[in-house]
Amino acid sequence: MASSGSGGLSEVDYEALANLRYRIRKFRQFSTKAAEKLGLTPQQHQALLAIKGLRSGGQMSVSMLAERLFVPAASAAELARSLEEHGYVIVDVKQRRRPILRLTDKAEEILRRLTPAHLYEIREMAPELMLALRVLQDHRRMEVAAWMQ
Amino acid sequence: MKTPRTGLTDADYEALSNLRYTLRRFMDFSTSAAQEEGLPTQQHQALLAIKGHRGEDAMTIGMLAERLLIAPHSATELVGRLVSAGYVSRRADPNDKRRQTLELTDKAEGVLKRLTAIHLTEIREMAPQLIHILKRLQDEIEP
Repeated sequence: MASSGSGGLSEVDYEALANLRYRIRKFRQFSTKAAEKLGLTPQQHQALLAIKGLRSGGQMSVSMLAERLFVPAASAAELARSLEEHGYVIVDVKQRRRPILRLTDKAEEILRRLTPAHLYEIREMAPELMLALRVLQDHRRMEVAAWMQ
Repeated sequence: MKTPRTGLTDADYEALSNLRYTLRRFMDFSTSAAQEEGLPTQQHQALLAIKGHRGEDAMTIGMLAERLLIAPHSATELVGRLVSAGYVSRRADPNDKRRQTLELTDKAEGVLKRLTAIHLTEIREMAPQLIHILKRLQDEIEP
């Protein structure tokens, strides 16, 4: 039992976790710069991507946007207003209790411009990210195996 | 040389959107976990970067700035706060007196041990999905 819980951490775990966070920071920094170059805040970009990434037939409400972006409902409503003001979304208020956000052609175009560079960047970081994830997964498995013996 | 497809599919957007959602969920979890230990997320990341640092040379403020992707003066301020809170101690580098190296205190080791254990649990939950999405986005480009 001595190796269970917080006692079973090795230097490798800390190193892998630190590397994982570094890669994620690098990716987010890249993404922020790419969005800002096209005049979008990172949060506006993520809102547009969240809407675009819905399965066909899916509808994005303001409250769902809040959940997907991990922001308070009031911030999501404010974000929706600013996206509408800039012509990136149309807020469909047919169902008054549940306004739906739809992308405009302008939003589709800006996402088409932003996404290829993101896919390229992900391909670059994926091996390192997956390695860190596997080290962290395997380590837990090894810990359990050691405990079971 | 494989050339990427020029057309983006709905599946690409869906995978990219899911990737970002998964990363945000992890960050949100991490921020809350650090806050429960009384650490702002940046301080937690600084301690983790020092602890996870491998290499012959000890961590310096300049290296910390690079790892956290922040300006050197911000790293200096951050280290000042960590020193005041008793998480980090500064030592003059014996090889270069102008440089200071950073070391974790026992207090920092204790907090990191607790935080890292729960992060590993969270990562074990998210890893299969994250690896699946990453593979998918890679395969798309290299069929």
